[in-house]
Amino acid sequence: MTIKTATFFLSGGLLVIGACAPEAGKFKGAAIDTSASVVTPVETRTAVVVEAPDTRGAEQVLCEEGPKVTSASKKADFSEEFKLICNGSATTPAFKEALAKAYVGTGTPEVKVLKFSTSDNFVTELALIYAIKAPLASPTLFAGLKPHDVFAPGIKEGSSELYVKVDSRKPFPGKGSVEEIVLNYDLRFANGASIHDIRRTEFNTYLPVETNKDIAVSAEHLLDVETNEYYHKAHGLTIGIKAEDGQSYILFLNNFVIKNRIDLERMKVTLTGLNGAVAKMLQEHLVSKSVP
Amino acid sequence: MSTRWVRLLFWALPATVLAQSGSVHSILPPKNVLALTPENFCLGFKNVFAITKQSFKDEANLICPNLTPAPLLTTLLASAYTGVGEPVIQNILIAEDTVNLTSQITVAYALKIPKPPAQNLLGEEQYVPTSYSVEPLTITPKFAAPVLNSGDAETAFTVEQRTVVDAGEEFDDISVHDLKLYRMHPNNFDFFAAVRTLRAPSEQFKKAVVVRGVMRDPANPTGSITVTVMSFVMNSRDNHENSVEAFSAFIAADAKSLHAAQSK
Repeated sequence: MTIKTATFFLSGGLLVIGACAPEAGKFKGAAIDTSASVVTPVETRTAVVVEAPDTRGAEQVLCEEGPKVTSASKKADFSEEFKLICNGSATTPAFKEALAKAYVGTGTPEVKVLKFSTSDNFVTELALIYAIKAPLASPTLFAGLKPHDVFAPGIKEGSSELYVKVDSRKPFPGKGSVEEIVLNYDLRFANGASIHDIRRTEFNTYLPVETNKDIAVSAEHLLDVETNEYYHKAHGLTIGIKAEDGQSYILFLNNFVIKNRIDLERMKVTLTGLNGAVAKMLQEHLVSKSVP
Repeated sequence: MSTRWVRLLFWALPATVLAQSGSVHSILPPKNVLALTPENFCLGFKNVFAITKQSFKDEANLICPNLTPAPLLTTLLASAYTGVGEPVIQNILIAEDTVNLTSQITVAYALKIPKPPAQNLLGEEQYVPTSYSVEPLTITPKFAAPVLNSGDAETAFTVEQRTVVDAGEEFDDISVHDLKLYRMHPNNFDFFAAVRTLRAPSEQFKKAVVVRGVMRDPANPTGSITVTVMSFVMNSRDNHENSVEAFSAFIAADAKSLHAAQSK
């Protein structure tokens, strides 16, 4: 006998009903005792288990389930990144501030530097956070709009240029990922300088609670960590979260460990500027794709 | 557990650590500590030559022939300008080509900079848009749009230089130069090079190479020494002496000005 689960959405709450149901093959054997002269009804049991509705808010789900789903995928360790946006079950002030200052299509996107430090051996830790707000009914729609395709012509900001090309796209690759995208980054110009800065990453999207369409988490990690000349780490979290007004926030956290670069102020200015351009491009893309 | 499994586990562990470790620094390559010697300075050019697309071997060989220190390098290091008095400019070659009407000036000097090597190198970039104007020569460099870097340097810039020579009649020249920065040794931040070369001959310049090698000062670990070799082949306009005099004055003034800028 196996447990099958039925799910119902009830006025915003989530009711999970677990029903014990027999497996089809076993049911036949158990239901009819062919050796008996008198066929008697087999006892049938239906146990209904009603679990408490998941009343957790989207941010709590993010902080409690996000680390679990990304960890279960065994792609990379994102615990440092979740620490930057979650403190236990609650989101950090940096997370809340990024949402509060989310780019909505006017003014300049605000990309905040969360971490910037360099060792005497020129190992630099740089973390950036920012968000956009767009008319998406559910943040889970974000991945379907193929946001990375927007970057193919290049991301340009001032005298910096970054090219991000989708190398492959695999739906439902397993390990909880809804979609796996392999990306090739080519940062050609950094604030007026020509640099050779390429990296290859994998971007996976997860639903922390499969039935909760108010929260989606994407985690990106470096694929060529052992051979990359300049990046020891290039992790990212992209958090889609439902806004109070029915729109959606998409929050981006980038966490880099850069090595072999002495011009770190340039990297900070470049990556901050380019991420601001990313915010603009994506926000425009999402607005253009939204159904009025 | 069989010996085989123990061995397998042993080999599997580093990969697991790589994938899961939150402490990323533990797997970063350690610093490549090299003695602060002229020998290691010269050996660094081997790594630069291995990736560069710039042509400056002749100039590097003047201080590091066969990747070993020349007596000239020793002399330069010993006489590095500290900001007191005037920089010592070693004239290596001053020559006139009366057929092509060009003047060649090849010189070398060294500066002691009160900054670590990396900051010294970054200062090279900041110094680029420094103009010079002493009759009859005015030089105005500026950054222009860079070209693609295919991994042949750490960082590359395009420098566009306007050179005005007043030789009775005013000659106005625009030349385009590549300025490229290099680490001389892997995982080491004590030795660097900055090399400027002419992208294409201009009316004024037929050749313009500036090689700056930077090393941490063995006598002062918070400072560094820049050794410069520069070689110009220029339009003499059949006035070799004046041409050499004007550009020699520029080179001496530029060395002093660079030291002052790098000492801020």
